[in-house]
Amino acid sequence: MNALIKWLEKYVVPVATKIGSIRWLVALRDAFIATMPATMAGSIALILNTFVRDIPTQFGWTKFVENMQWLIGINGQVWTGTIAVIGLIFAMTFGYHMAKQYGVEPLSGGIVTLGSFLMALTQTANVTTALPKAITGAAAKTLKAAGATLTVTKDAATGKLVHNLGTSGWGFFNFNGHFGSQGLFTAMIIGGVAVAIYIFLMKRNLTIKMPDGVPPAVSQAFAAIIPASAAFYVVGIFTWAFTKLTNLAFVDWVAKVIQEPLLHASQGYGMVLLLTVLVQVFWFFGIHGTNVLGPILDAIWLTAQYQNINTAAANPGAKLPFLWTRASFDLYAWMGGAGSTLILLIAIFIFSKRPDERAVANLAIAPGIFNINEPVMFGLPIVLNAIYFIPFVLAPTVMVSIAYFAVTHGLVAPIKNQVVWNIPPFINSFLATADWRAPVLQLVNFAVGFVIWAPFVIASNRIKPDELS
Amino acid sequence: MIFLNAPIQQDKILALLDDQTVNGVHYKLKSKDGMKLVFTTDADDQAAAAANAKKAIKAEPWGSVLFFQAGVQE
Repeated sequence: MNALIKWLEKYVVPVATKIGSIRWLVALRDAFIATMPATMAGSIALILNTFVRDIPTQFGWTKFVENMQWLIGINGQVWTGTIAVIGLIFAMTFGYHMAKQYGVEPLSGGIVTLGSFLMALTQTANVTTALPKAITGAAAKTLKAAGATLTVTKDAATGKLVHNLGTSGWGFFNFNGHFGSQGLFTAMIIGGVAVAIYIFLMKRNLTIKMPDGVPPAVSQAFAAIIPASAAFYVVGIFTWAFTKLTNLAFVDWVAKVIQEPLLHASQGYGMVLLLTVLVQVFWFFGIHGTNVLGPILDAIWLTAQYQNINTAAANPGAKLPFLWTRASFDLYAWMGGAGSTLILLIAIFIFSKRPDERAVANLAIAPGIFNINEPVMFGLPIVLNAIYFIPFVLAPTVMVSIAYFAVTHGLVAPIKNQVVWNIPPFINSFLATADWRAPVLQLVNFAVGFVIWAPFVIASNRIKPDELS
Repeated sequence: MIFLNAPIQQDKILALLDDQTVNGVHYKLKSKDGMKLVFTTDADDQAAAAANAKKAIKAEPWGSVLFFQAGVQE
């Protein structure tokens, strides 16, 4: 084991450290975490609507739903200001954490990414209405002077000429699309570039310096003027030119060319399995698995989850775009924490006669129910304990496979609500999916996990505790 | 006394804490058994000393990715 640790310290830990110390990746992870007050409030609203709108509707309780319209409306308001605009919120938190990571004034960093993000969105709404008859004369002149367009097109079905009135207005953002999860990658890309320019110039001291007596809030804001202006102008020129050349808003291009293909690639079984195994192996060897791989987990699978959540909130009953999202790992592979150690604790209670194991299980069961497994990871221990390596990696791998195929074959609904990771198993899956079959799937996984863990618990009883270290 | 259950990077943890004063708390290695490192400290509040040690390790570039446990040694 010592040789293995030395090997890990020489080859694996430096790689993990390298990933963990890439400041923009850390900022990305922290930016997602920072959205939590908004995402949790939005989740509560959506979960409440599940109970007062979605489930009663399934049972045909229309009168109840009618009586609950006031609560549904309030929840809708909360969702509108939180998860519905998650892209907008993330744009702010990402810039803040990027600037913080590089040790420059963070609030201005957030302002830079937020403003840059807005520049990359469509800002104009165009509406064309078919007219019953042509508008001519003074009326047509007035409308054209006001910016409207009058066109004539041929109806493809009837072949008749149709007179159209076209109007456009600035200031109409695609609220439900671009402000939400669809804007997340744009916020990462355009916001990342903008805040990088801001940080670079701040670090080069290209700033306006105020006398010492000026309050810090004022001097910090003044210091950020030149770097922020430069960042805004670079993004402004880029987004303006991009739209002129492609007739597309940058956000639409990113969504089509980068975000959607990447998110769909994440839906493959290989990707899901690889992430599960990597996280397990990292944890086993004392590397913070979800921390190191957090930027990937969040940027890809959490974005997919937000798309599901916003789709379900805007169109209850609509088909959800993604089958496997961030919380799917927590629900089906990591019951009681990484390794599904809650199952191990139950197996210890049933099979273990070792006082040391039973004592740890007694201490670890309460936090384990809430998916906290540090006491069992180090108390038993599982970390670097050769006898538990196989079930620790195998159980989540098998469980994630069962869940993956159950969800992708339509046996269980995908996730449509955000749940806090420390909500106990069985409750968390029902809240996340509003599907009674999700806790059943967890129960199946629990049983399978138990079958995998149990022989190793029995085997551990044949080994003296001091042989395990 | 405090303990740290740290499976890897023990050498670096010892270099950081053993016979060192970190944020006003002095740590001295008392025993090393497998992944468990036990330190004596001069702090009145041992829980705070454990938290301080954890924070100091997490602040290191090599420590931010570690999964380890810090607590009060009974």
